[in-house]
Amino acid sequence: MELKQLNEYCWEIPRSGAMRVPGRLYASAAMIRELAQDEAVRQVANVAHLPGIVGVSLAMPDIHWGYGFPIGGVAAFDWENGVVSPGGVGYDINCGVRLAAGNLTEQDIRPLLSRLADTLYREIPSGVGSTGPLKLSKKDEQAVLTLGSRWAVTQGFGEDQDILHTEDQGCLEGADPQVVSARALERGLQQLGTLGSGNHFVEIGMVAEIYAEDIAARFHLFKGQVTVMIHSGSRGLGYQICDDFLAHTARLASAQGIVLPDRQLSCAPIQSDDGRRYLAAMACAANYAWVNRQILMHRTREVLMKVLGIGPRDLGMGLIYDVCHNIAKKEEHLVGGRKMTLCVHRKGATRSFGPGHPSLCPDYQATGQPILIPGDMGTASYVLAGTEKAMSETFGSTCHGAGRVLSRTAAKKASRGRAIHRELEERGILVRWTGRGTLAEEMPDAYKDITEVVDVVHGAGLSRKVARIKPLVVIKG
Amino acid sequence: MTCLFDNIFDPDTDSDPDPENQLRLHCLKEFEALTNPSADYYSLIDHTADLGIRVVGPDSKTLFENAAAALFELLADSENVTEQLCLGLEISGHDYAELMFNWLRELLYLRHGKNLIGKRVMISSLTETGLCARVWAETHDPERHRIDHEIKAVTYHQLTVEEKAEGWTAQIIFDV
Repeated sequence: MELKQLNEYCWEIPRSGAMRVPGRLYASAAMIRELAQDEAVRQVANVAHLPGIVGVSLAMPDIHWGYGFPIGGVAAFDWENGVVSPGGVGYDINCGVRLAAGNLTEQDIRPLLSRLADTLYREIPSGVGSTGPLKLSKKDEQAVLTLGSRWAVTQGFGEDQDILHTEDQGCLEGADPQVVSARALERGLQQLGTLGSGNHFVEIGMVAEIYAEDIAARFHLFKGQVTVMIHSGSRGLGYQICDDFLAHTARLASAQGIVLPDRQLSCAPIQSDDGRRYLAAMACAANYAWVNRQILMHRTREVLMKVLGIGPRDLGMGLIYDVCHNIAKKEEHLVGGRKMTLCVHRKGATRSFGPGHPSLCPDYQATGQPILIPGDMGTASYVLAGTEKAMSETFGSTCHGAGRVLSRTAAKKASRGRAIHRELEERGILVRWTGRGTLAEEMPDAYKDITEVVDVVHGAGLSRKVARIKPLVVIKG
Repeated sequence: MTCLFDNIFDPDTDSDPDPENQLRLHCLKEFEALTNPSADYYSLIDHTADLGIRVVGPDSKTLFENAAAALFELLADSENVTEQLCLGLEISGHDYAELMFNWLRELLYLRHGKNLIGKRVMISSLTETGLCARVWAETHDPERHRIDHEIKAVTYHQLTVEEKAEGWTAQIIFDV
């Protein structure tokens, strides 16, 4: 595909054929050489065909080949005349990341790392179909789906501050459990408070480097501080909701004779019964995911207190922030100088709202929102801050992670003859895992260099580097 | 339970007397079976984020049965799965591609929604817009059933079902 360089970090896919808007990729020159022939670039162009798309079809530097929409894609649709696409959100609705930190330093936990790893592995249910010790009634589940994080806090799984430090205060409006299928509800009942599998993790780490002292201080981060990072989503409930609605919207398209570049791009007008129903179901899954991450964080805090023999005051561990990276949200943005209400799809992309944005809590008004970018389990994760440039260029969006470079099969091949967990141990990282092949599939070599990805969004001004976190203990599903 | 899958040894250590290494070697053989399926009715498509299959069959009914068998083989080691129960399924679709999508979705739902491991299927009738089938399966027992790939969803991405001169083919990409 033709790519036209706009500046050091930005390339355009000019409009051609039935594309309604151009595409735009954020990447370094080295990344573009790899990407130019990639199917993911064609997917950015495919998304540009959808009705009501506004401005530009975007891709972040961690872009890779997804199904339908690329992973690392951002697309905004006019709230009145545009569409919402279940495939543009992805299966794991509100898959996201949270970061907690407090008074502990690396020296406090260094001698206990092995016990921490074993206890966390025992206490955090993981694996694809894992079920939790939490027995939800159907009535409780309805409350989880409509209230989100607020429900978790009322049940004792956290504090009010945690809610303030969650994107959208841990609750998407308009959630309606009535539109969620019996199958999705059934899957949701069993799995609340479980990690899942694949790239999901609970990680104990330490702040290894600070890049912006002033912002780090506002985020309550300091060098040597112990951190807890959690990556998980809406489990089987979100998958089933996506599956149900994808099948439905694809059937609608076939019945109406609409030809899409890829059926996985199937969508419904936002202002239609189908569009509204999907958004109401998606909000349920988003709220479920926030409760899930809140419970996982609570359990991790309990493990830290148990293993270290300390109380909550000594731990002092609060939520820094929680971000979603698979979601569609109703937001207001300036487009060509005009304020528009949009449905912003972020599939493998993170919100990056800058300083002064009205939806941010008072703690982060001056800094822009914290952004959490997990890398592979052997390298690093980054904390960034949202910027005004992201507001004007990318509908307030940035990258979400490292992005795969090796397929799972290729990663397994590359791991032959190697003991990945020992290699990690030599780098000071203890790992515990559940699934067959998880470690091979998730090995560091399977991912792009996270630092390269973060340097692009920092260089392009889509977010600002604040701190780097080094993993110490990793629990994988 | 942790897994030794990541401790794979080089095949040259075949004669290694260390029992732990023997176990690793066993894992390596399993790994090779996974990446080079012995069955000739399907092959794996390598996809950066996901996993896909290309399935063949002399006729449409066999193609759909083969797609189900491939899904079962990818999900779990079927050797230890018994025919504990039998379910009747009726699936519909707008065309062959949608029928395949709905068929595999339903079989995957048995895994995730009903905690069943599939053993085999038999399709009694099939048209472009519908099929009737029976599925034999067993409740998942983590002690006996080894889960190979955690397939989470069937996608529409690049989904095809085609009749060619040499027979029927289908391509399906899974979310893993």
